[in-house]
Amino acid sequence: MEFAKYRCDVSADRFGNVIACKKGKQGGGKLMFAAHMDEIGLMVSQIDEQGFLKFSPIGGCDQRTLLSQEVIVHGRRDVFGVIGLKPPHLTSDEEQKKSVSIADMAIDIGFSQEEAEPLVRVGDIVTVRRKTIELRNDLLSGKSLDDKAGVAALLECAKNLVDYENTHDLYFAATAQKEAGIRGARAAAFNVNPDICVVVDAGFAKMPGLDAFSAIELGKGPAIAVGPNIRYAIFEVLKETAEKNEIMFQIDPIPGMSYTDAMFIQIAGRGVATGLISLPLKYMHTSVETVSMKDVTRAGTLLSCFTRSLNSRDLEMVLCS
Amino acid sequence: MNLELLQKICGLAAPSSGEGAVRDCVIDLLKDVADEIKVDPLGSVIARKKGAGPKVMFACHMDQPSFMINFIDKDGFLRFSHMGKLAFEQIRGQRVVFQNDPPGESLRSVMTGVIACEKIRDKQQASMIHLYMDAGFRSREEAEKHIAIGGLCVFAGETVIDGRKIISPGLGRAGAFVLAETAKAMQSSPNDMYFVFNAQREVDFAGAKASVWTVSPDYAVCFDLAPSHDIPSPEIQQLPVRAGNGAAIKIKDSSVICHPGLIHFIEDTAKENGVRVQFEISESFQSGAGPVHTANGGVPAGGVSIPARGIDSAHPIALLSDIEESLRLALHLAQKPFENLV
Repeated sequence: MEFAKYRCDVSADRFGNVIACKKGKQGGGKLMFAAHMDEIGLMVSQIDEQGFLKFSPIGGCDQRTLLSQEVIVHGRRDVFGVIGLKPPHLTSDEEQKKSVSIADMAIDIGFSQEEAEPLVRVGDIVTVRRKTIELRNDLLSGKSLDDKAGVAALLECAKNLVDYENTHDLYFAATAQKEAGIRGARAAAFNVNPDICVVVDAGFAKMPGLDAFSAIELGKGPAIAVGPNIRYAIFEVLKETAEKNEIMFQIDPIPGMSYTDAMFIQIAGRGVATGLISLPLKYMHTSVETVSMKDVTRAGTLLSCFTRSLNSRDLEMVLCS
Repeated sequence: MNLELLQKICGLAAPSSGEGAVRDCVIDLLKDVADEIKVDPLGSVIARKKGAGPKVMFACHMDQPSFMINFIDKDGFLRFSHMGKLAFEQIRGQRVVFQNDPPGESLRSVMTGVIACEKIRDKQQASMIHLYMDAGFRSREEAEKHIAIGGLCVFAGETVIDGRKIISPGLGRAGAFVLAETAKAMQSSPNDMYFVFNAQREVDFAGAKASVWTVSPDYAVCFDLAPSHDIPSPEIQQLPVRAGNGAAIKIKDSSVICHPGLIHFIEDTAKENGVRVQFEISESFQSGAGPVHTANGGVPAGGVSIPARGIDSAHPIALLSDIEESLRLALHLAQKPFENLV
């Protein structure tokens, strides 16, 4: 709803995606920017005889990150809970070496089965309870910055363009259920039916143990992705825009599937020319995900400059050049 | 409950893309009760019972786990691809029945074979690629008279119904039984009802993906099986579905998180009518609700599942009481207005 502040018409589609639209002049094309607003989470699957809640993961939940977390069970009303762990004194050497599986974990809300049942039901969603904190150097650390940081970049872009008269219709989509299988983006792309879509999602930033696998770094600007999931012309326009406007950027080569909203937006309808901006993020899918606010702001600026650069240009011609 | 019809529908052979027998049966059952009935290009049956309200799609599937012959060797043994989630240990040693119009013959012949495994030294290493079908042929030439590359077959096995349970290689069609009976039994509906019997569930829900476009429903409820978690295993994760505890209202499986509005609507309908229900959360199981809910810009979807054990085997089993509760629930749902659910 924040988008309404920036002169966008905001609505929710049938799937639950939030789509904000800023209409352009007649005869323009359709530009869409997308970032997902959901986060990985858990779902209550059983309330056992002692009142412990067994759960299933929603999305790529790393079991190692769940132990000793505080959680919120979104039941009839929100209930606090903890995911406990056997004391080390009573854990065998063998057990110490293994990570505990989700099947062996439970959420303790302090209630017995009878007390829990009116409040919590099978199917209720559970999220990790975590306050977002600021680190040095404009870094932000907390849960679900993948991809709320992307949504923030979209908002930054909308803010930059608040007084801007655009040729093309501009759509900002905060998509649902990405972590459950990139589901909301499929519906959003159908509903908007854009000519061009740039997705903003989290990318793996360099961190100890990951240097060999990752090319992008925190604080060095948004990473413009290139690979088969991306229309090369869009990559080029994004890169030129960043260079021209002196926005610090990096390049993120993605040789295969990107596993972002771009994957299904690219093949929606008759096909969509798709770009992707990776926000460098450390510790993905944990509750201490870390991003640089500078990168987020720069990504927003890059998107708004990208929009300006396409103004009064025929989108077909952009794609063919 | 019409057990004779349940036996008939589950007992037919319907490999993915070869659902003709079930299609004919469904059309025959519904031709006098539906306002419109059509077969789409993939072979799915779409039957409509008109109503003034929103478009509501009840969907199920007609096919079952099946095999396609992809190679015939010089000695007449058949190699195959499988359609559906089937594991090596579930396939090996099973019987199959072929469903083919043999070249040069007009009658459908019933031909049986067995799935056997190559003799290999290290038995632990045996896997899918070592399996072949033996239908008693002595040469490629002889085999080709009866079966062609692309020929289809399904697990052989009698459909058994006793007072308590049903065991059938085509048990997945219990959903089709529920839909056919619902369409027949329902009086007028406040909803514009579409009963869709999809082809090719086992080929990544191809039928469901296509028919949801044709129907363009406002709401969808998918009827299928759900894996029951009451099987003996010390390792299995405890998930809610239990055979014998009634119709399972789907909350989540690995392809969908159902729309809360529909989950509550289905639950309320069950409560109002005294239908015994439980909830389904499945982890490594997909349903037609998956492709349906992301189609056409998003379709609010729910599901009613029949708990079954051994879903991915030749001989899945379900309890009749659960099928009966699912049928009661479907019938009440079809006759209740789907209003303001989102």
